[in-house]
Amino acid sequence: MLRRKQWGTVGTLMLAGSIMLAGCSSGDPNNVSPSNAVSPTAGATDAEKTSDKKFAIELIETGWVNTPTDDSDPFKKWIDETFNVDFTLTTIPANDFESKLFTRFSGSNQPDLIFVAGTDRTLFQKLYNQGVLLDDWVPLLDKVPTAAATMSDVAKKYVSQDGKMFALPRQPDANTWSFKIRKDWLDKLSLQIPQTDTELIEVFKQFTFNDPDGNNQADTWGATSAGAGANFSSLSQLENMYGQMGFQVTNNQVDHSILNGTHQKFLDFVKLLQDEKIIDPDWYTQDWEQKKVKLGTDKVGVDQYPGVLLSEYEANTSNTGKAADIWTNLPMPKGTDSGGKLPADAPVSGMLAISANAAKDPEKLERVLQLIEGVTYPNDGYWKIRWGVGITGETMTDLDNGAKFFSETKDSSNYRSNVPGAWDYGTWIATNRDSVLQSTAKEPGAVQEKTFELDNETINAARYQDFESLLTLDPQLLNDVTRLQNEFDIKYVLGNTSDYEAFKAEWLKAGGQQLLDSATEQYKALGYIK
Amino acid sequence: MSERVYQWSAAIIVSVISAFSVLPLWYAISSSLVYIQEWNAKGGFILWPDEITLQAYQQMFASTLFTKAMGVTVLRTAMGALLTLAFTVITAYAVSRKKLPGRKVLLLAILITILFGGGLIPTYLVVRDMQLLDSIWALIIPGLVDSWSVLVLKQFFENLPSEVEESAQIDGAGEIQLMWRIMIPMAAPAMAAIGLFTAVGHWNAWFDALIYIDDRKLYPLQLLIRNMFENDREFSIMQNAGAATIIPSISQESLKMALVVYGILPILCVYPFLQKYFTKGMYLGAVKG
Repeated sequence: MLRRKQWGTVGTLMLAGSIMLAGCSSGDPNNVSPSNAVSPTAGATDAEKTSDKKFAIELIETGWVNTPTDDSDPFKKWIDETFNVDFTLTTIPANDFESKLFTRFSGSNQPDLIFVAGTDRTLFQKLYNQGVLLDDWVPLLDKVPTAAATMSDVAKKYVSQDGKMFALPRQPDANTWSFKIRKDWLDKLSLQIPQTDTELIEVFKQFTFNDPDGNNQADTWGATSAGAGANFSSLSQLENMYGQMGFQVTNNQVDHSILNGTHQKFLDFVKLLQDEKIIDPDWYTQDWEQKKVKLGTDKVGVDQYPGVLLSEYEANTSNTGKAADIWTNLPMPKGTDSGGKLPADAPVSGMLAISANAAKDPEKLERVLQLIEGVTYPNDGYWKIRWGVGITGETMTDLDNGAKFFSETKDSSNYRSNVPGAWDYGTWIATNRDSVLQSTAKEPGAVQEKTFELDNETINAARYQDFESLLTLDPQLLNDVTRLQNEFDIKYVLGNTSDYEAFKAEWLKAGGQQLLDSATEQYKALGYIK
Repeated sequence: MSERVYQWSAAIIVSVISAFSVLPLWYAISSSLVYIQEWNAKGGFILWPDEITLQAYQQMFASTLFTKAMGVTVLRTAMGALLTLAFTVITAYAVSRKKLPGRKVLLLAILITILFGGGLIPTYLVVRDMQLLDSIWALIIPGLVDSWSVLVLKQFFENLPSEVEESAQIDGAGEIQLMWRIMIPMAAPAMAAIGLFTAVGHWNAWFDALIYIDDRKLYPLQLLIRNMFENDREFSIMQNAGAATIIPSISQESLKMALVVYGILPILCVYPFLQKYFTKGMYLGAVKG
């Protein structure tokens, strides 16, 4: 009996060990699968055999959705078949992106392509300085002619270090963000679109106290924001009424809005909104989604938004079509002679880097570049991957005004309706220069026409010259002064402090002076300061 | 009289505290059952829906995304809890034996792992070199032996009456028999408590999956939920998933709350059955007369 128990113990241990070993992964995603590497064509030349080689390519990015697709993913299938690759899309939320990326690079498990949306170059600069990114994109630009053709000199400088490009910039989006105002409320209260900050205050007061929606309830406000407890969010853009925000060159020397009075005038404006109670009381604490609810339920008269506000309003109000008549652009009012313009366009809307590991293999690099070229707007792959045209059966409707209409109202047979993570195939190539109007409505109508009109107005509005994005500043110092500013701003607006001069001194001491000195040197090198 | 007043006061205070404890869960459930119009009308504060809809849940299950993720979570929780418990018990029993050679060194090594960690990158390198990346074992093996639980169980084993041990040895029981037939049954309440804590830890864990798992089919549910809370677009897309009409529709917050309910419901169902072991385990280690 004891012997049987011993065999039982041994058997259990062996079973446990087998299970553990079976769980160990031995797959190296960067290895070429032998079964896919060889062309079935007999007698092929060496060149043909090389071109038939299938490469595993992985792109890592922060997606819009960040949830997985499944084995029936038609987007992956299209990419794999078209470019003869085994494509993997890895999406990580923004807050975790840096940790995940650094872990992968530290563990020598590097992705092939890395995409970062927006204008923050610091992550790529860190990786580039470690030598783990492609050394220079310049010799490769002729292999991605579509992307290269849209690259401005400013964009090229933006992604360059010591004369070498560490990333491929994505064409900047047409900037469609501007303030929108309730036209129906203006009409009801016999008001004109405000041209100055004083007129804007008066409009806010009327929106707040004179029942513009006619429901006999005191439930409307002039302004709002979505600070999420951290900063002023969209409300901060009203600083442009008083002058350009941030670093700039004025009278042949570097300047900053915190020092030249612009920021203080803005804070006084917001303090007035707060003291007069003509701003949504939750403006500083609520998040974006909470603010959106108020826009959709006729609680707020002014907010900063792109033209898609109309479609979102429609979606929240059961597509009545009235959004086209109630929202319109609010041109930036002037608070000073130098104010009243929109911020400068960003030089890029995103950056794409190739890892040094992927670049080691010339054939693989060639395939990566083919993939990038194939899916860049306006090539055919762009419409397939970004919008699903030709892959999931979705279509575009051409509008008379030159735009294209894309309806998000789909039935459950549409892959992306059931697996929304597939939208992330478009994150790294998306551009609003494709003139696509995206809506939940089934057909294009007045709302889409108005959206296009408002966005075009915003795109063509007067803007400040771009200075700040040309700088490479110490990120830690920037972080410190930004935190200091955010803390001071809310205290000032709430009346807990009024000593702006002391704040200026502290800002300079906390890193502002060092940043100004660095900016001066860089502007001199760029020729902005003589 | 004073006793009655005391009892009533205590009952009222405990009821109020209980209500506040239950409120977040109630809010999540209520919010997951409303249409967008009601959500907007009430400013997002829903305690009792005027009109109940299961649309949020229908749209959540429109794809197999979450059921698969739930499967991964259940698998890692079950396997992780069982294996962790097994290895923790074996380790705790071994270091509780006073005659174990090198016992003090082993205890010091265990204590050091409580105080200091390897850090993210070194741990990742170890997991990578063990060929565990992109495998569910990467979510189980790194945390297989919980040092704190080892010390708790060790103490528990040491506090068991030595007479029971001696009488078993007199009857011819070896160490393994002693552990399996005497010590483990006596330590059942403590093991149940530790097993429960471990299971809850596995259920809620997402960071290890974020770091070690690239294969998105192996994402556990909590990682998906966290990713979705980080992304608003998912909800605006899901609102139209499978919907032939837009009216009525649910708010994004309703979808988020539906996910929250989906994520906590299974563990809530298991907790009541293990609660008695948890309670017993809390005081069984106490000194007795």
